[in-house]
Parts: sequence; C-alpha cells; structure tokens
Amino acid sequence: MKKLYFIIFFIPFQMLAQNFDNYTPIDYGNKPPDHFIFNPYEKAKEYAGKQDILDYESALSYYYQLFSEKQKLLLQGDVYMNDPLTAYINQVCQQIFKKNSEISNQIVIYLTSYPTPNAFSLSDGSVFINTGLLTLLENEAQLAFIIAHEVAHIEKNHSLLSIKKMSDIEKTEVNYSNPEANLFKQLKYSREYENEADAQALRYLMSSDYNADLACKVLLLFNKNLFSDFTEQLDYGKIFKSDSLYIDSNYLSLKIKKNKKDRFLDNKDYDDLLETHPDLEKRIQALQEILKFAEYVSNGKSVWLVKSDYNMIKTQCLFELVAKMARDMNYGMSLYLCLHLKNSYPSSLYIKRYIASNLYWLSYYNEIKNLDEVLKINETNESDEFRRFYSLYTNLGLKMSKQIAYNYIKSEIDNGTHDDDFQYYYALIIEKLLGIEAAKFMFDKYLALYPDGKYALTVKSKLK
Amino acid sequence: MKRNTIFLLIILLIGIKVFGQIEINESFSDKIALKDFRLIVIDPSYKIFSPGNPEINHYDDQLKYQKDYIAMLKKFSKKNKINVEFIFNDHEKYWSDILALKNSIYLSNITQNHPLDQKKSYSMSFSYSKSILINPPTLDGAYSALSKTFNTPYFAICEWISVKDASYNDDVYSDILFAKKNSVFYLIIVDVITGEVIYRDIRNYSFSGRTPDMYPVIHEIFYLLNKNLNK
Repeated sequence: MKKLYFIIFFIPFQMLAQNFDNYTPIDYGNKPPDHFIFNPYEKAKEYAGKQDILDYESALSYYYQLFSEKQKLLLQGDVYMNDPLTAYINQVCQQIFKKNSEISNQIVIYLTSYPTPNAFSLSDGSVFINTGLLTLLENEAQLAFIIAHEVAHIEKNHSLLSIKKMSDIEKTEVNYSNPEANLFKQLKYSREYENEADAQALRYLMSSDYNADLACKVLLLFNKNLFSDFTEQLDYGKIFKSDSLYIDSNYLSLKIKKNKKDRFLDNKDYDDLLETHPDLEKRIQALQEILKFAEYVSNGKSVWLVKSDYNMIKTQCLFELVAKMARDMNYGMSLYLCLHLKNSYPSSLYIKRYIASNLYWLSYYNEIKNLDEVLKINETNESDEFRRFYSLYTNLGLKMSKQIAYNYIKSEIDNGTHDDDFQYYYALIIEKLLGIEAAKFMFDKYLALYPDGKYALTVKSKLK
Repeated sequence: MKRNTIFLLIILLIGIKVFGQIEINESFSDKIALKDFRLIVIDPSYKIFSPGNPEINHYDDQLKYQKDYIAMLKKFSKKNKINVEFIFNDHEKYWSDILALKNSIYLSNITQNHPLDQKKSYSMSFSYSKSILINPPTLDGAYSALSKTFNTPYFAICEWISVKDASYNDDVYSDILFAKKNSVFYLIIVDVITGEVIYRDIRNYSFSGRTPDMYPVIHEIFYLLNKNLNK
C-alpha cells in the first residue's frame, strides 16, 4: 500500500523531471482527445438555452462563434494534450479551489504553444494559457493568480455581460458627433471587468493555501516580454567562429511600429483610456488596498503547493518554444532563444540541433531575399539585446550568413557532436555554400552513418 | 444579326468575368504518375466568412457545401485519372504529424515565393534574386517519413473560402489570400521526399461558392492538374 502511495504521489513530478541535455519535446499523442471533437452548433444550442443574460438568438450566435473558434484552436495542433505541463497547471487550479471543488470541476485549463505572454478564458469554462506566459512567471502562486483571474471572468459571466451592455447601448444611445463613443464605453466596461476579476481572484487566493500577497505581484511582470530577461550580451564572433561580424551601431534605433495609443493620442498623456485592461500600477494598488482592508495575513501560506521548483517548468516551456518558433518559421527568434539557452545548457543536443537548423533556414531565406519573413522585431521579442542580434544578422550579407552556419555546424561536428540532424544540415549548408558536387560526399556520408535516418529518403532523392 | 452579336458579346464578357480570373497555376516539377501514386489531400475544407457581419451563423451552409465540395473533389479527381485520398485532422494515428505538415505547407507558401504578394513581385524584377521566382517553396525534410507511412510522397492542402459581405475588411482569411472577390480556392501539392512544392493552383472568383458555382471550377482544377502534372 505504501508503495502505491509512493507511485501515485511521485509519478507526476517524475514526469515533469527532464534531462535538458537530452531533451525530448512533448509528444502530442496519436489521437486528439474525444472532448476536442464536438459539434459547435449543438454545443451552442445547449449553452444558449442555459443562460438568461442574452436573448436566445443572440446567445446562440455568440456561443456558436465561441465553440467554432474553440474547436479551431483545439484542432490546429497548438494545444498540448495528455502532457505533464497541462496536468501541472490543472493541479494548481485544484489547489486554489480545494475548499470549493464545485468551481474547479467546471474548469478545464489548456496549455497552448504560443510565445505571446497571455491567457484567456471562454465562458464555457475553458481557460487557455500560453507557454510564453509560463516562462515569465517566478513562482507557482503567480500562476495561481493568473488562473484565478481567468476563472473569475468565467464565474462572473463577463463575456455575456459585456455583449449585453454593448447591445443595450447601441439600442438606446445615438452619438453621431463621436462615432467612436461606443468603443470607448466598451473599453471602459472591459477595464471594469478586469478590475472585478482581479479582486475576485484575490479573494479566491486569500481563501486558498497560496500566498496571495506575493501572488498578485505577478501583475508587475506584465510589462515584460519573452526576451526581457535575456539581457546578457553574447559574443557572436566567438559563437560563430568569425572575427569579422559587424554590428550596426544604430541597432538601438530600430524601433517597432508605433503602438495604437501613440497613433491616436500622439504621445500625450492617455492614462488607460484606450486599453482593454486598466493601467498595471492602478491594478496593483487596488489589490494592495483590498489586502489591507481585509487584514490579510500571509504567514503560513506558500508560493509552492504542487511543485517546488518552478525553474524546471520555465525551462521546459522555453525548450518547447524553441521548437514552436522554428515550426512557425520564426527562425530568428528561435535561434536567438537557443543561443541564450546554450549558455545554461552548453551540452544540450536539442539546442545545438536547433541552432544548426535555424542558421541553415535563415541563410536559405536570406538567399531568396525574404529574410524579413523569418526575422523581425515585434512586441514579443523587442529588447535591446534582440535588436543587437537583429542588426548583426540583417547586416551579415548572404555569403557570411551561409559561412557562419557552416562554421558553427562544422565546429560542432569536429568537437564530436554526432547526430542525424547535424550531418544532414552540414550537407545542406555545404550544398548552399560550395555547390551540390561538394555536398554529394556529405550526403553519401549521411547515408553511410544513418541509412534509416529521418532524412534518408530526402538525401537519396538529392543524390539522384 | 446585330442583336445576336451584342448578345454573344455579353455572354462572352460574362464568361470572362466568371472563368477568367486564375491568379496562379504553376508547376515546379516534371510530370508524375498521379494515377499510380496516391495524392493525399489533408483536411479539405469549405469555409464561409462574413467579415462585415461576423455574427451571422453559417454553420448549416458550411456543412452542406463542405459535403458537396468533397464529393466534387472525389468525382472530378477520378474523372481526371488522379488517385486522391482524403485524410482529416481527427486522423487516428498520425494526427499531429499531419497537422504539422499542413501548417508547414501553408507557411512555406506564404513566407517563400508568396503567390499573391504583388508588391514583392514588382520590386523583385529589379533587385531581387530570380531564384525566388523559379525555385519551389521548400519544407523541412523531416516530413519524408510520412511517405513510408502513407505509401506516397504526394500530399496536398486545398480549401474553398467563400467570403460574404467583405466590405468591412479586405484581408479576410490570412495573408496568403486576399479575398477581393467572393470566393478563394487553393490547391498546393508537395513531394514530402524532396520537401518541395510541386504544383499550385490559386484563384479568386467573384461568386460566392454555391454548389453550381463550384462545379465548373473543381472540374477545371483537376483537368489542369491532369494536363500539367499527371503523366
């Protein structure tokens, strides 16, 4: 019996434990779970009949859109399933609502592979958390706050209420002189609902074993993006074995496009008037007031209840993002992330493999003059260090971009990295740099080393 | 006589309006025996969008036309001696691999040799490498293993997008296709062994994509596929 407890208790943690030097990406499984496949229209009818906020037709239309979008999201291969990370975030949800399992039983949390730090909920009880958000958090209590906030939106029926409010305004009010008046009103309600969800999330956490005081500090992290923490200046010359890498001194002036508040109000003081979410400082202040008013005592409360090492989760998410970015052809971001992760995991074959393939594909896009499709500055990656990397790569020139890919892969092979991918990309980059005749020897070598390798068929077709 | 000429001219103009709007029909490969190999079409779908009025529910129409659309794909592929098999994204065994391939075909087409990016094509004629216009979009070689599983190297994605009430926003679906007209169709075929796109047919039409509208289009698509690619 003791043995059984041991197994039940330790299996989830064991599943999370990963050897990052030999990382295996999360397997999506062979078949989508049954609850991924449903008829959106039937579901919409069921939910429209259950609610009493909107009239049946409006609710049907709303729920139909909701379930169609949900199914699209579930079946497009960006949601993890049957995996330890999803199991972990659902366990955190159960911890929050340990004393109120009625709520947690209605909630299903999905982890998506997107890099944008974001989470959102649907009014059928689904919460979607992006992998990019998990990489920004510092502890489990912060994750608990995010979940509690999304659950609060569901419990308070915020989606349906905002539709109802907007439709009431459109029916009763007319303002021809300001056609954007309704948008401003909508944003105002949206901010009110965010504040309400924050307050409710805090109440949920105060009644749980999580430290609510530390958890709500998660809001401070919302100004960050995926690469904000990667501030170390890398020595690209050393990494790519080239002394002549040139970094444009104007790299800091490469700004992303002006955001909407700049466009609309021309940099004047805008507060949060045009935002769907309230100003972060205001949100934090409001939560601290609630804690003070409630005379909350955090003694005996913890930031870890399911798992004590959040770094492991964070690292796994970053490793997953490397693959996701490469899959989405964001080779520049994937390479940048790999180069920083390589500092902490210098012998990780997974990282080395992605550096090789990303360098190859970047040189490929450079050759077809479409580099801007796979390496760009946006809100997810904007940071001084990424701009430095961007400036370096975009100024490399075609020959140099091939040369550094060749240098890197060759040096890894010379240092004893033997791998299917490495040998394949080595041959490919030789083909790009030196031509097919020189590459044929490498393709032959690939077949000799990996006759049943995953690229064997492609290599054979190249040799033909 | 005069009246007949005017009548004929009108008919001709209508014909040009309906059928004369092929955007892209190009082959990057030598002819292959598509009647002997199978062409696996991943998740063929028929979608209806109302960007001007997103609250409209098209579920029933979408289901009906999707059924007709797949039936037509089957019928005309057979008629044109192309051995087509359809697999869907709830496929039992290779679900995630198929989805990854589908996304990869789509993304490689919008990031390399963008079929409808006119802005790029213009600037290309002056300063861009011609290789982008000659070479096919290429995918990662890792998908070659699927050719063993499905006994064929040829995989395709194809979709009919019917756009209703497009006044609100021109960029309806994504950046691959700009739905200036009411219907968009694309068929993109790859050889997963070489990792290269071998054929693509992308069109816009100014009709909505009801069953009778689709009939001649699908017929023409497979007729051209047979003529241009099938050995």
